[in-house]
Amino acid sequence: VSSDDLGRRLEELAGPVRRQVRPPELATLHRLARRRRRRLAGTTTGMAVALAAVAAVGVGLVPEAPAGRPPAAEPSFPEPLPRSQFGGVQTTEPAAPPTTAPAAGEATAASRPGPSPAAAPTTTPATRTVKVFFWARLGPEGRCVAPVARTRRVPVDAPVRRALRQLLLGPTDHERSRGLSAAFQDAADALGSLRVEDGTAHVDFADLSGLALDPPGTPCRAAKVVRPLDATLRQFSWVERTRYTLRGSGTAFQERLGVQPTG
Amino acid sequence: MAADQDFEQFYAEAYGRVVAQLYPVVGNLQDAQELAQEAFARALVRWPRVRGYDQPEAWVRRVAFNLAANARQRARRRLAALARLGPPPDQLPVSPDGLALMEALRRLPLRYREVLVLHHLAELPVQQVAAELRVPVATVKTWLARGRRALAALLADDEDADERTEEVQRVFG
Repeated sequence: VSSDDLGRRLEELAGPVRRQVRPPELATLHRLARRRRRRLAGTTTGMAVALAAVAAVGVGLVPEAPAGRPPAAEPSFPEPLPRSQFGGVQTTEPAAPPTTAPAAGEATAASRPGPSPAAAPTTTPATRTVKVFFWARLGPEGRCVAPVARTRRVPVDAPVRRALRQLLLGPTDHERSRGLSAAFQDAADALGSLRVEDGTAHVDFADLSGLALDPPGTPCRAAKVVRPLDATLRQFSWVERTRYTLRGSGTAFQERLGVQPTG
Repeated sequence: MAADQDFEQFYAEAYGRVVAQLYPVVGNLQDAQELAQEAFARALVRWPRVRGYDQPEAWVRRVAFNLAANARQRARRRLAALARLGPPPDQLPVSPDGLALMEALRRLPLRYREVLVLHHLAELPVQQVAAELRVPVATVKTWLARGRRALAALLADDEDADERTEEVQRVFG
């Protein structure tokens, strides 16, 4: 098929559509927009309600499957963005709608050790709930290891970066006492930069020397690091893929995790 | 108010173009219209920001293409369509040649359909297609060449379907 011929045939196919379809009433779009806003708000509220129910019975070590493919990926276009607190790289993540007061039992970003987001609030900042994934020993004698989701309340802007930072801080003392574990603990400094571009979250670590890895030869040694990272990042609809590097090198990251570098 | 009027004008002008470009990609007019509506609704939510882009229409088109790529959304739309139980929407008459082209396009990977439509229907230069899809120019050129070759095989007027299938499989490895 020549270029001209293909262009002509496509135009024959699509031209009548372009000329004849009429946009639905603007009210239809407003209705769709309202539904989308409600869905976004409902997701956050629903998570808070679920967390409150879980908190009533303790830490609530219920395995939760990592988020699947997001419902829709929206493009990121260049625009002014707040500077990242992780070394100057800017992120292109959209902000989520603000929510109300934290639900009972949530750990908040401000309550965690380590450097807190720069804020000298004169008013209460808008916050939202994000999930972070850790490991729990379940079943008879704790022989089953499963990822579990915990929630954190963070400021509403740059939620991907803030969720990742919460993951790197690791489980709280209370969560650890209830059997949760993670490869990262108090490791906010491990992150060099985060960039979300075209549906891919590029995470560059500056230092992984403090990574708590299982002994060499342990099954799923690398997966225990990567899977919580993936699940935490992919809970956001605009993150479809993840890419990890150590000081800019994917090979170095894989070597640090003890896996054979690919490509 | 000015922003609302801006959007209304943009919506009225761009809707037909976006649907027409989605139609060969998704292969179904109803899906194309629903995707376009959803994409325009998202633009409406973010209009103060989207209107500042160089090409708001490109943003809408990209959202719609991304939505089309999402299998979960597709399944949800089908379920919603079944649940509606209403009369089928009006379909535009399509010529036999048009049907053959649609069928051939349907057998190409989505990315190939997107580049073919953006380049040959929307008449965007290769560089702009690459920028819109966030892939290298060389990749777009490869997809265009392979897509055209596969379409040629699928649309060939020979009677040997096996040969066509083999050719398409060869093109896509």
